[in-house]
Amino acid sequence: MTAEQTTANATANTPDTTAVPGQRARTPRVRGRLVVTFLAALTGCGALLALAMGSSEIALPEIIAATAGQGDSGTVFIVQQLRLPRVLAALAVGAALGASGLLLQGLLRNPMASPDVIGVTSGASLATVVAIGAAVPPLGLPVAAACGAGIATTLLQVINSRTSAAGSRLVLIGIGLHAAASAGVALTMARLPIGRLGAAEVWLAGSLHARNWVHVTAATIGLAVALPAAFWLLRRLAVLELGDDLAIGAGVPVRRTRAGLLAFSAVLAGIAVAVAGPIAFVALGAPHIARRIVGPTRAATLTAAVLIGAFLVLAADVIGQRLFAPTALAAGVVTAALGAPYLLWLLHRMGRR
Amino acid sequence: MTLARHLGVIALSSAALVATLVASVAIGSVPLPVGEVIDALLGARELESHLIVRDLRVPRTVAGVVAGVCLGVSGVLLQGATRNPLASPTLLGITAGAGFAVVVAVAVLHLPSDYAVWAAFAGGGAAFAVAMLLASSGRDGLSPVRLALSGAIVSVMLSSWTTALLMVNESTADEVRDWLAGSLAGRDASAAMPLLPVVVAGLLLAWVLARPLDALSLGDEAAIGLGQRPARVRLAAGVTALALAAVAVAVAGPIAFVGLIVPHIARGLVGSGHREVLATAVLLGPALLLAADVLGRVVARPAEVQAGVVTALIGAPVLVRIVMRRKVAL
Repeated sequence: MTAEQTTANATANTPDTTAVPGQRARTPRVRGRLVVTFLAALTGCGALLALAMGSSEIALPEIIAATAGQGDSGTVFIVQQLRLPRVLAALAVGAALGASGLLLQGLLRNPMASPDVIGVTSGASLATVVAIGAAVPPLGLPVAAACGAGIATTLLQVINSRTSAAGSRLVLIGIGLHAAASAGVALTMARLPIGRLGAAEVWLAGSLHARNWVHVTAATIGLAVALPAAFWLLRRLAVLELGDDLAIGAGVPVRRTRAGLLAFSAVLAGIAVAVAGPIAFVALGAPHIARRIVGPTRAATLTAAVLIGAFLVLAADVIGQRLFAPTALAAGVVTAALGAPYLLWLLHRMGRR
Repeated sequence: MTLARHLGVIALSSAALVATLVASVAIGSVPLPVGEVIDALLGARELESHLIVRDLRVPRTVAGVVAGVCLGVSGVLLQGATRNPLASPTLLGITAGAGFAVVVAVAVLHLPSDYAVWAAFAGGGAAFAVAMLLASSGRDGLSPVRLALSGAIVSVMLSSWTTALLMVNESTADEVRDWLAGSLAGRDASAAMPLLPVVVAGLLLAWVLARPLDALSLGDEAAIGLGQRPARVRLAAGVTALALAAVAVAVAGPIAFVGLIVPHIARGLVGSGHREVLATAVLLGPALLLAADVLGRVVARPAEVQAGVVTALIGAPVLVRIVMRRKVAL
């Protein structure tokens, strides 16, 4: 199953999972469906365009034929071995980031909490660089990344519960964590043997360059497990957002739900980091945009966040390849350069409220 | 606090500084016998080891002292002026702003490196201003955590732009990259010399501002009652801190957290009087930076870790501790 199919399945699931207990007005649900359909179409078109663009322009009908293995062998090779895995990897990474961000923001009840701002991504980076240094095979990297992300998130959660750190304090602690983990990455890099240094450097830039089917397969397996879990957890998150007392009253196991949200947010961030390296701000932005157009947390919001994340990473990768051609920018650099001002604006708005 | 205690702290800090100075000259990624180091310092130039000491270790030690003094004093001034225990060149965006501006000046506009300090001053000032504006735009005004958060986010933005710039300009990236990580290696002592008047002026101004800052720490109204003008004192302290931080960035690159930690240690040792804190910070700043640099030379032998990386490793937990303390208001 490809990442696209996973997303498609997730979309197909939406009508069932929106059936939250209690009466819901009809309009938001219809709106949610419309938005999700539109986003799916947008992401699909984006994917096709990304397949068609590149150092050699290929017409759309040819692309579609080549995806199915028809046409001249050169085109089939370019499409099937070079462009398709890259596009699918971008979609998978974006989907994972969007979902991870939504879960984490819901869990920490903080709109600025996203894995890359509060040090979860750098925790995953640190674990992955250490794993690269220890010559762990490529398929082991997602596991290492997820572990690193999990450790960072757990640390934050422990600090969070101990200080009852409200909004900005938690983000600031996360920034400290991020600084420590980044320094750890630099320290590890200095000790890497020359042969592995190059691999680690390319990966740290947050690039989708030269992603192959191994990456796509690894990401798809991860998403196939983590995304359904995310949807399942989301129903409980919606109850959790009403406050702990109400949630306990509604029969939701608060602690276990928190732990689950934490774990799957870390797994999703880990998948993204392992495939593409640290890609900034998508996990922050995608859930925000999703909540803005769909409304408060429910299944359609998660679907929208997943689709928006996929679209953002894809767009960043295409922009990075084309903007300063022939110099290619890593997708992570594009999202960081464009996403950071968004974070500033967000802080500004938080202050106004 | 008694005078005896102050003198004791000063003596201990001086001892720490001397110890790190000696270590910085004697210890390196290449182990050298002590005798050869002493010979080199006395003027011998025959052996390769003499050249290592005279041309590499002594200049980087000088750079470390200059940067450390500047960062420590800059942190004391910023924390005093904003009455914010989190204020420091790093957390107010000054370091990242200065770093970004220097990369633009050197890597993009190809200005000679003499302009680095001006670029650092302008960039650091702009980032500082943005962070202050952003922090005070809120309904509940300037709170310590909010100011630090704005600064941190301005820093995140600027450092991601710096990374993007370096990727586009790959040819110039290498010369800047080491500097950007906050490395003292390969510093030319002569580059720091023209900046010495700025440093001395900054230190004198800081000394003059110490009493007004003491008054400010009692609150604005009390300070006005004591004959101070809070806005003017803040502006003077801010500009002085900015200039010192700019010098530090121009000399040693964007080194994180020294300006945050040193004032805290100094206050823990001598209390809250700004003169005493300044005198201690002047000694502890270079001691901390040199210690970080020496540590960076030995942890990854034969490779070196930049001093900025080590200070980040030490400083990040300190930041977390300060934020976790309930005393810091939201």
